[in-house]
Amino acid sequence: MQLKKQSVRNALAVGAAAMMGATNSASALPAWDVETGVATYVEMGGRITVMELTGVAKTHISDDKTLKLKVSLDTVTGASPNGATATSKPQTFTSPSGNTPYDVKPGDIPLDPTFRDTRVGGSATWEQDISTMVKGNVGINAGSETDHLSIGVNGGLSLDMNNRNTTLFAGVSAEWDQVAPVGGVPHRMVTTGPGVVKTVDSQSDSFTVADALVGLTQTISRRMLTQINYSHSLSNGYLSNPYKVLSAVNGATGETIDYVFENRPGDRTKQSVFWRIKYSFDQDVLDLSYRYMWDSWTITSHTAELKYYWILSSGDRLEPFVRYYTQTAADFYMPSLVYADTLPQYASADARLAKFDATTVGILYSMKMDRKSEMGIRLEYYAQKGTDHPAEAIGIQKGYDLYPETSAFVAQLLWSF
Amino acid sequence: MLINFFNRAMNIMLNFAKFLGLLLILIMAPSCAGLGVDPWDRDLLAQPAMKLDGNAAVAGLDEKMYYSKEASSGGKGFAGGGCGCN
Repeated sequence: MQLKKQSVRNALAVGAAAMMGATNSASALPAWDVETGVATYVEMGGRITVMELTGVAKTHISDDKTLKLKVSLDTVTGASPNGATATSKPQTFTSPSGNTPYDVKPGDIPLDPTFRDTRVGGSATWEQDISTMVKGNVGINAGSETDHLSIGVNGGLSLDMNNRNTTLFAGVSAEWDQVAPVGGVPHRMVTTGPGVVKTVDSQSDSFTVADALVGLTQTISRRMLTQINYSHSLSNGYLSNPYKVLSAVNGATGETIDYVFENRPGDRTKQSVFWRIKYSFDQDVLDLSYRYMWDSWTITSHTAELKYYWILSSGDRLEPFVRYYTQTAADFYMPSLVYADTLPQYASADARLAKFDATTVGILYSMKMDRKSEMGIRLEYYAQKGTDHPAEAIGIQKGYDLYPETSAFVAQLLWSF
Repeated sequence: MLINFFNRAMNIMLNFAKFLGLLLILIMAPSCAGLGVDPWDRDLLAQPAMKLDGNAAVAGLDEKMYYSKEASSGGKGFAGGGCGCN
């Protein structure tokens, strides 16, 4: 077992050394710390299923230089809400490709069953000591999907102060994303007519994301440390979802008359404050964090997370955790819009922009295999709860659920060595 | 669009500078209050469970799940998602 793990580490090291043009001398090869995970995410009700493989490898090239590589591969299949609301008559939609019509029964929330995607992502981060108290890091990341390409760069500096009890961190990142929706970018906020056949504006569009983050880590006592971050993020460009529509309904009866593809503002500024405390009870550790986020789409959110590291006598570890999340709606969110000659400039029925709460509970069991390696299994349950019968419901809509609830199970196997 | 992007990036940098100032003030407070420990008192702080960056495979999965299902992102790190899942 040990030999096998050593050979995997050496294989990784040889690969990295070859990339860097190093000599192929086994004695000069750096040791790697590797974390791997395979996960499955399954939404109830035949919705989305995700399979994900992740590998992260980190090595100290020398005393003051660290290289970290990450790769991930995931596949997504299943049905996803298309934004339209339930109505009293059967509904027919055309899939994004235009090839596969699908029907929805009266009273059901419309789900697009043709959703599938594969994503490959990777990143590399180089960290280096600049002086005794200052470290710098630079990184690149890229992700490719059937309908999306993302490329990003980032960099940061950290400064140790106050006898290394205080660390100040500042970083920036820039990301460029190209969106090439299946079947093209739809013409937004114009009625589509029966079957929801889109008029294509172009084959692709793009957006950019610029992020800045400053943070402070402070040792409070022998047992406790705290972290405070402020982050500022600006997205600009095509931020609409090309697969989401809204039902245009009769203003008196609530019956669906037509559909429009959604449109979101082309700018979004997000800010957040994040606070975390870690407290050690000799062996066990408590990890508590809180995030407040607010953005230019009038969404605000609170996120609280609690994790406990329970170290067992065998050296194994149990980590129960719970997370609570609540958000307000975007100012242009509406479950449906009233059919009229003049439609609003911005509107979306995407439930992720609605007001909702979400709870996560889970546990990780991690077994210590030897001094360096661990194997673990992690189980998690995630549930969202929105407003099924919002005040904006009209006529027959009052009798239907207008919020597509999400609940999902996650299972993840972990191996680090 | 590129010029617009860089103008906004400059705006972010300005905000960034403001918050650097704020954080420097925050640093002064704990220094004055005498927070922190001596190097020989770091035994508990050096435990693996006290590290701020936990298992990367776990963090990556959760971040992607929340980015795909919620309107918020970032906080612990950068907010950009690098995927078309939102």
